[in-house]
Amino acid sequence: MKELSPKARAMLDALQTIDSPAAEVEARAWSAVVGRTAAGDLGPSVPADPIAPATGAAWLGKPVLWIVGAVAIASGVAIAVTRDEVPVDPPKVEPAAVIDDAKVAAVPPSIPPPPQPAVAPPPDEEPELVPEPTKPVRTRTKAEAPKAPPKTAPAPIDGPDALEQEMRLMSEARAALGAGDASRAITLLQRHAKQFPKGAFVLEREVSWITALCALGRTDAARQRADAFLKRHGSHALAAKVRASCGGTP
Amino acid sequence: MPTTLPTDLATTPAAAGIPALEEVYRRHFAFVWRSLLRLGIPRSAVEDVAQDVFLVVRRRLVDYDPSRSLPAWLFGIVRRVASEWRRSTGRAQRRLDLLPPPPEGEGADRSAELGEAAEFVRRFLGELDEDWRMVFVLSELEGLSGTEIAEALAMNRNTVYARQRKLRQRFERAIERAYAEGRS
Repeated sequence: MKELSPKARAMLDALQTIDSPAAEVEARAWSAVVGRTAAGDLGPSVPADPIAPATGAAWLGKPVLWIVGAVAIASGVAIAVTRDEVPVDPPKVEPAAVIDDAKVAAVPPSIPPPPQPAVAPPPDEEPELVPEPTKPVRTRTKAEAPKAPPKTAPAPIDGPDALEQEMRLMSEARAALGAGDASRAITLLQRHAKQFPKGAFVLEREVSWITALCALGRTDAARQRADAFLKRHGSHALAAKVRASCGGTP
Repeated sequence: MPTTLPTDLATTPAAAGIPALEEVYRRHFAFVWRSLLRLGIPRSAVEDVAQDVFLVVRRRLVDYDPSRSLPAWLFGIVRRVASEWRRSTGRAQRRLDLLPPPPEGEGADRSAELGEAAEFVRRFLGELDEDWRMVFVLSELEGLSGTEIAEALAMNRNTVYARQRKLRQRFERAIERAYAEGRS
């Protein structure tokens, strides 16, 4: 098979670089996994693992898998046996026997969480508007499935309607920024920060804020916010914009 | 397959070739993270969903067959957790996509070239159906073998190779077209 050209390979490498998580994120997520395990969180219920043959012949050559499949089916476990181009996602049947693994659930995590990355406090100016703080153990904040309510206190405004409001507010702020009215943009961003301190657009808010401060010539304030942003989210796709702003320029 | 459960998947030595959770995490967290992104999980949620993946991995690790590819097995879990997340999050989360992109910052973007290349690949991936997209992602970005991809996607290996070949051609053509249209 013909290999990709160096140009194509370089483009793929660029995406791979941008999409990879930062080490601090990895450490933080591990702490959260350990913490959630300690709290008895088994994670979401997902369908059982389909037995996926590499080839049809390989499948036929593995009688052990047939036995496993037969036992599983007899136990009420849905196993999706797929071949060729059949879509992967199995039926959404939740096998309780697989999910309620009492043996695993009863095992407490004995590993201590890794040390938290040292993160400098946010800049003094406008302290209520800094990016979301680093938490020792991160609990679920986004995937708030009805069956698994969040463990943290809710944001001032929550729910689907809140998302619309948040989106509208951010759009207004960006429109103001685009129209050259940076002062109004900051006012709107301040409002957003108060109403949605842990909203879906916290990072976008920070980037817009830094951009607005630059537009107003408030370089020092922009730099403070940019430093705080880059310390926490240096590998995020938006970090490039922060670095390119007046706040990211040494 | 092991006949007994390890007392603590995170800390006990590997049983019957099964890696400890911590090792799986250390070796494959980035793979899980990127795979979630490419399955459409927004950045704002990917950290939470990645945690979910490893909680499921912890639960299921005793069932892992060491003769199978670990990335392929992991990807099966990633895909199902992502699917469950999308199902439970529903319309509200999808509205995030309606938000316009942030305005350009002042001055030239130092990483503009990198960002532009990445964006080009993202657009290319966005034009593909999920099964095709994941063949491309797992082969060209994550470096999995045809056999591993076939296992991860429950797909015939020859189908994987055929798609891989077509996708490479399509990607190269897309690049040529973009350059021809003046993209640098």
